[in-house]
Amino acid sequence: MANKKVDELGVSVAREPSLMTGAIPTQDWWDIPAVFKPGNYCYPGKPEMVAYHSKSLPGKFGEPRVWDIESDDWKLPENWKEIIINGFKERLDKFRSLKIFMDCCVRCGACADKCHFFLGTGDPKNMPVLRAELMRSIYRNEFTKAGKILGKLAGAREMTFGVLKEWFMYFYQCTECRRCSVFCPYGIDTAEITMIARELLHLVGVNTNWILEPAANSNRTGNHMGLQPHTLKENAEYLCDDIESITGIRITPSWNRKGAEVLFITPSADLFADPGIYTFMGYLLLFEHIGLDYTLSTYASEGGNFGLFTNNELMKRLNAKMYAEAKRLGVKWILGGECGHMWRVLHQYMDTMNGPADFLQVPKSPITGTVFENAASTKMVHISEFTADLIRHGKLKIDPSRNNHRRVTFHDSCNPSRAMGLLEEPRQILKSVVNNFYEMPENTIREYTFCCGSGTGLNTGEIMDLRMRAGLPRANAVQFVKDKHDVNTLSCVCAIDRATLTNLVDFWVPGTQVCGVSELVGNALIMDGEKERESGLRFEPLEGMEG
Amino acid sequence: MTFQGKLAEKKSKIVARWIEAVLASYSADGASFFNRQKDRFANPLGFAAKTGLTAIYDQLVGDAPAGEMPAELAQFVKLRSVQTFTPSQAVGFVFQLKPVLVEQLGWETLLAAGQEWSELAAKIDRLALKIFDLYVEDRELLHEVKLSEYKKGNHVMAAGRCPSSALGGNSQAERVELKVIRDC
Repeated sequence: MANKKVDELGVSVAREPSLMTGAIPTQDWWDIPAVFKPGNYCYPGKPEMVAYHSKSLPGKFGEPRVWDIESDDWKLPENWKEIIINGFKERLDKFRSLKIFMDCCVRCGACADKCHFFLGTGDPKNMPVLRAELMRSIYRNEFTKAGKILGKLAGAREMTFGVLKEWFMYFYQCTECRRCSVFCPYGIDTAEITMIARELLHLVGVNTNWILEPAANSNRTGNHMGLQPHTLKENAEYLCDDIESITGIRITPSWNRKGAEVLFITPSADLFADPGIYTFMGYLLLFEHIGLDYTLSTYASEGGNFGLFTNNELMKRLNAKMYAEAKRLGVKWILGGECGHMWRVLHQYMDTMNGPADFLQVPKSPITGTVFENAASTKMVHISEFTADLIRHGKLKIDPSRNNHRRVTFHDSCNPSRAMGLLEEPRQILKSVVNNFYEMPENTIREYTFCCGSGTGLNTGEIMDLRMRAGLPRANAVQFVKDKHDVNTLSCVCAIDRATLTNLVDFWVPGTQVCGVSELVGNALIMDGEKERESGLRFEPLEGMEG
Repeated sequence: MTFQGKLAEKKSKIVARWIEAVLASYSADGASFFNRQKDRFANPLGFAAKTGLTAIYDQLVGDAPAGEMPAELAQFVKLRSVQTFTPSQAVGFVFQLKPVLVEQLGWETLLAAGQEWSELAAKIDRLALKIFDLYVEDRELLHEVKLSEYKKGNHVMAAGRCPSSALGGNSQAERVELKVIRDC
């Protein structure tokens, strides 16, 4: 009894167009408009932030103005298309990599299903190949003969306001995690395509405040929050009070001290944000344990570099102040904390932008004598490299049973793993300082790690829904080890991870805590003259001390 | 053959069509991938949908009283709660089982099943309500997570609190604030 009613019933209530993209499967991708709704975009930059950045980098940030992303009038300059196309041309001439990335994709599809945004949304424009195509189509139209002559047939299209909206939507649904690049047979770095797209958007004043304001604070005051010297120092003192309560040891870190051997730079979040503060306490205990001659700086008080999310000039400026401070203080080398994108900037761009740092010495551990040849040019060593070396040489007194209340897994933060190859060191540390360590499935760790879903300045509250769906693949793997091994702790080496994974697991895997690797080191270190430890660094009772 | 027998016999076809219909709420490219990729870590959405819907089908057509919500189905609902669906779109996938049953078994079978079909239809409706409860719980959890982040002061990073930003500012209030800070 076939009848019409069956067909009618078969039409799903969930088959309406997607609210985010308006996606209806029968349309070509470029006919599907980007639709902004509350929850799927970050708030635009405040005029005063745009004005501030424009003072030091004229012409790079567009006109300061109040504008509404949901409206069809973004108050763009009249010649905005010309600005974008000229900016595109300038960058094609300047960055050979961009030219190659625009030309050499053969659309094999290897990257298509590797992006966490695609896995959480099913939106084809979140396939890295198609996200890049948003730009390539303009590139073909403006800069290739085939595109100019054949137009759509050659995959070319004109720059329109609709395309600009697409760029703003999808290049801010990319966390520049570079997982897709691992699978690309040509090694196309899709993150760099996103970086250039964001640069071009900034030229016409299309931006987000969540990135511009911390970058302004960092440039002006020294860190994302704009914490002034006395506040930083006081925060550290509070944390030292806690260390004293827990261990009986009083630590007095030095600030802005000239002549120290090492300048230690970490994300400012480690000084004020839970759970980063416990990681900071771990650093201090480690330095005290080995008697390191180090200083902190109130000027270079930020490891993070939100310039990376705007344009290369601002990235360069923010990176440069770390080196300016190292020079001013006359230290021998720089030790860097558990940060994510700081290490990408450091390993991939610093040397070209601000290097070589020939006024510093090739880092050499004063405790083990190890020379860090890998940092011979940048003169900056990762805390995990430094700690793993100490452990390997048996220089730390460790009691891993103090972490017995934790069943730990490790999230490879995107930038340290894929941008600097930091894969083994954190694992070596974890295997020494905890007794219960479990890996997540192979295709979700090391260079295949899944992003937290909130990197590149997407860690803002107004897009929490987006962050949660983008973080699904990561959370899914955490859930697996929680079910299988009763894991209760997700460790990592990135400040953005520490903040955003906390939200992610609160939503997807409740009952899981997030911590830095150095927090677990701090728990395990047996300090000279310490009192009996009853709790970990966050005052949680140790195993056997619950009563 | 009994109605139960037919539901069991055609299970794989019915569930496959249901999954297909549910995944059609995503883009064609997305749906095709979610259906194709078998690795649960490379395709968490597809895995949750397929495993969850298969498990709940067994509960729906069986004699046993409704059991625990399969974890995979709960995860799928949680995901839909943060995707760009309206609430009805997010939970409406449950009802798609009905037209699939009509398609696969035919009206004659369903009408002949009488009371049994009516009971199954009621079970599907009850499941939809359960899923709606889950959806609301998930949305509430999302707001708790947002609030928790807010309480931790994350937002202050872009809240204009950096005192030195008042340097060169035009507003009287900013200058006064700066003076107060200097005097401290």
